[in-house]
Amino acid sequence: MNRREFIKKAGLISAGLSVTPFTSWGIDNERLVILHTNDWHSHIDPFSANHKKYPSMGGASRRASIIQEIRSKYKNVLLLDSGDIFQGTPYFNQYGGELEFKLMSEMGYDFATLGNHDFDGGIEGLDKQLPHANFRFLCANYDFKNTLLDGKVKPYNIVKKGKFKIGIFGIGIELDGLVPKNLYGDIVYHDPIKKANQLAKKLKSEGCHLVICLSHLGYEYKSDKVSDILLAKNSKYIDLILGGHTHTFMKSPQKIKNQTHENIFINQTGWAGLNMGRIDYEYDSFGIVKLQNYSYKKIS
Amino acid sequence: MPIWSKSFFILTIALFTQCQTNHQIYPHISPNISIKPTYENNKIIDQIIEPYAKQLDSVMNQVIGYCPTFIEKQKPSSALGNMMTDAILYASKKAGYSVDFCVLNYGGIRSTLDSGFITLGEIYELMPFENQITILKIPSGIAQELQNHIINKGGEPLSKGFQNLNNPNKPHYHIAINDYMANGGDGYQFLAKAIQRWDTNIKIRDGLIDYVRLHNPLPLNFNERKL
Repeated sequence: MNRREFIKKAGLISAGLSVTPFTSWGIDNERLVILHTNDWHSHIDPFSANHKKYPSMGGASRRASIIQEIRSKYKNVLLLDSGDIFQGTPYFNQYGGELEFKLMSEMGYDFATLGNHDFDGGIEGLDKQLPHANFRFLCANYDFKNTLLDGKVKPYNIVKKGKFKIGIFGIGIELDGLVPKNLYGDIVYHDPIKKANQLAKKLKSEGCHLVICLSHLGYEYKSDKVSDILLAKNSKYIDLILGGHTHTFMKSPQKIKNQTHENIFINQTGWAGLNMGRIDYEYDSFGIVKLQNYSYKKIS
Repeated sequence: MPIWSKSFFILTIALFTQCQTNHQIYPHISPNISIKPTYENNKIIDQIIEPYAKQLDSVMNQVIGYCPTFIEKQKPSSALGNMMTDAILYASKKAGYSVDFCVLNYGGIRSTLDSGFITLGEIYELMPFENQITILKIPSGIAQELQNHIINKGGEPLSKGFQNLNNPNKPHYHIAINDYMANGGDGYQFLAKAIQRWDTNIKIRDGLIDYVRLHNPLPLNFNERKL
């Protein structure tokens, strides 16, 4: 019997002795499940059946079903978005983002960061829709002083899910040249890598087991423009970067070595609500079998 | 104390210490979930969407034209980019501006056009932004910068008449673009040095809608437009 098999069997035996992570209702409360989206760009309905690239794919309603199914199995679910919720279908032109926020609230989103297109209705347009969102917006490298968003968008948050203490912060892209000045107003942009490292260190020192960066910087650029890849390589205390902006369809999260050669993961799920990312975390404690790769079983 | 009891004690202490100090947690990486039609809808979500969708459908399902084949954006040029820039050139001329050609930004094309009837909703997806048509008068020096910028970007959507940019004897040009580019977006900061600027107050989207309505079926040009 090799070591792995032994651990597996030991896990099964301990399960038999009711030292099991599952409660009697079959809900797993030992595992943290992180679900995330980015750049869903007001794609509330699925693509049309005759769409050449994505026929009948996506849709907020189906996304909600998947989330609900996962919530029925796991107690500790964290639902996150990396920005560009707004703009892309007539729903936004007609209703200004109201429906997007209402749906995300119903799905139980915990946190989101701001993308450049979330300013397409101006700061006022975004502020007007905030009452429809019962989740929180995080962005650490924008200074909102002297704007309507002052105090409404926080840099970071610490959240407890079961025994997991998680630090989450948001990082936004430089708005100058990307968003008309009259739309982003007096928001002041600060260096993403510097801010991210400062905050990640602070969150780890406050005892967070996991530090997550919700980023709208973009995955990678040919130039030396700051990106998730650059942030990851130059970071120290971040465990996971959930990105957006470049509409990068990643098959699964990518492992990168950070400044101190430790593992950090980056993930991004493309565009238009076609995909959702999932990353699970488990404690390095006894009796829990560490799973390597597993794929999500679809709801029939 | 028997030897096994002693080692059990030490082991327990060791485990306890580990649990207290080592907060290492392991990620389990899984493939990103593709949201396929096989997943069921969520009734509560559907109920929230319904009144919004109903009102929107009545407006957006209106058929405004016909597209002979599926077109999508590509670099250095594409039939979709050619059509959109030709449409904005047409709209600018229709509004009374004398314009040499139109250049739009590749990133501003937000969707594709399917073959068959074109609905108003499709044009909204193609051009969801509220940007308007802006006309700039630029000297030849800026035209050179424009040319270089387009080449560096691997191509941008260009209308009929773009070859004018290669004319060495032309002292200045009138170009139709969107206000996002005119304001320096997407690396077009050098356009701030334009001699004159006219903001037309015509939305790019409205220009497209008008063009599609008046050109039925939609004329498509598959020629490569490359500088």
